[in-house]
Amino acid sequence: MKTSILLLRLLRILRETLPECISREGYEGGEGNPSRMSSLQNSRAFTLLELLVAAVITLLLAGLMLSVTTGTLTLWHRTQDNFSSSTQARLGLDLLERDLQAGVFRADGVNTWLAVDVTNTPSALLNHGWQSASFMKPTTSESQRVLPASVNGLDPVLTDARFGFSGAWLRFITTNVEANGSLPCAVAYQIARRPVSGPNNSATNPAQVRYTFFRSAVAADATFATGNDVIAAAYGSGSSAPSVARSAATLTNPPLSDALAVNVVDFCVWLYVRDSMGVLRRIFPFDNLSRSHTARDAGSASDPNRYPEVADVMLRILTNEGARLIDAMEQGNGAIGRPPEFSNDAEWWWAVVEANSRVYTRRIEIRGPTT
Amino acid sequence: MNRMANSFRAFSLIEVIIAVGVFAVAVVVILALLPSLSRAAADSADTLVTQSFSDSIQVELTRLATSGGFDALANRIPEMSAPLVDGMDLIAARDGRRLYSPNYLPPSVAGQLPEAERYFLTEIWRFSAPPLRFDPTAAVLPVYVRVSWPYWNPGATSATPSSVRSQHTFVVSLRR
Repeated sequence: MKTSILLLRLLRILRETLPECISREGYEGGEGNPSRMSSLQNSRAFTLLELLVAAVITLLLAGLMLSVTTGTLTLWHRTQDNFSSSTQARLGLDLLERDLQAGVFRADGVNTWLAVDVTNTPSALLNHGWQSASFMKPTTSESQRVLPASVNGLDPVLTDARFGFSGAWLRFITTNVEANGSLPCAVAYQIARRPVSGPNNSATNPAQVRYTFFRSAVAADATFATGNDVIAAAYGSGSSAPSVARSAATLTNPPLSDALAVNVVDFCVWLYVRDSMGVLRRIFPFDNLSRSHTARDAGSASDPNRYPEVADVMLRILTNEGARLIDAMEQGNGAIGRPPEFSNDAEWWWAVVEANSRVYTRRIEIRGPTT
Repeated sequence: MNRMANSFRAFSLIEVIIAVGVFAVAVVVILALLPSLSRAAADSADTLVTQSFSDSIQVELTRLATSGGFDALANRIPEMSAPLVDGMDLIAARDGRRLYSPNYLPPSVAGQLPEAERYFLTEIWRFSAPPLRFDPTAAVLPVYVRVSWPYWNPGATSATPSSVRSQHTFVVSLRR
């Protein structure tokens, strides 16, 4: 009602003022023109009312344009974010799928052909090239949900999982389709929190620290020389500095050139075998306390040592906005304070991550020999 | 003098109205683009999910073949016809998890999806002509797969009509 009255008033003002504007003559002639003075006297300036009406209309149009532009930009950013993270996820999951499908296993009872570890101790990740900070991904129970609770009586789902501080550290022997003759090679997938912009990192010019998803592949000849035991010390790393050579025989501390995706804050792996009816039975994690799986024994072995037939994998990737927020929280030196609705930093960190990330899952059938 | 006066005159009311009209049309066109852009982005993300379905389908078909027999499964899957209707159904959530057969040897209740979460409908058919037609003496069962979505929208009282669903098709083979 009030709007209608305002509109009627505006129309009345326009009706009174517009005819004057339309009939007004403009500037008519130059110096020496005898009619100039009379013309100038005839052409008066805009009235305050006309200016006000013009300003109101301009403001209305500007407001409309602003809302349209803001909406378009928000949608554009969201779409860009979506494509950016889904492209990264697809690259990582495609490679992981290819490697796992071609996984190699021999039931020799000696070598560990596939291993998964979850670490909650930052010091244990130093030789993975992790860079710690006073505020980063929590190590507390907030992050330790490898097997989430059942909801409404339904089986737990991988998308609700949180794989500890480190995320899964998955390594296995696969058939390297890039090598001549498809030779076996050792590969590892893991997350590392570290600077991502190479050697120019310094105290005066610090590089951005990101949670980055790595795939490190040991060359076929180095795998042949080192062996098929992926938990052997020879595949480890004694240094906190990342490897420089891409062909380094390490499954622990990958070089920066092995990065697949940035802003990956969690990497989860569930492993299954089939029972006699073909139904999948999860062998890792067995419960919420499971932190490790080593596949080295024959099919009749106990679950913690069985080689899986199917794997579910999940990547949680931050949106650009999420990456900016986490960066500000972790490296902002307290510039952003914890909102009062969160009782601790861990709860706050995960709330921000869950609100500003996307989850990508894939089920992979491991087609290599499993006996 | 009259020509000069004409060339310096102000905009007429008609000109102003036409200008505002053009501006309004431009704004309306931009506004109309927003929902379609949003829909295209969501559709693209869903297509990416369906492109990773092949292993999930093979895992579920392996379960059905192990539980009920390979040949029984092959006989259960209808042959392709024109138009493609009444395939064997598999359903999955929007993130691709829990793909399963709801009608033939369904999993336990704890492994099923609530109706509102049944976002992808996967239908499969056997090929009706060689060389991909199923041969009971052969070791492989090739099937034609069509994934369509959204199958069931949250809050809806019935499934989305197939004519308005997006879809993606591919071929999967199952080893005996």
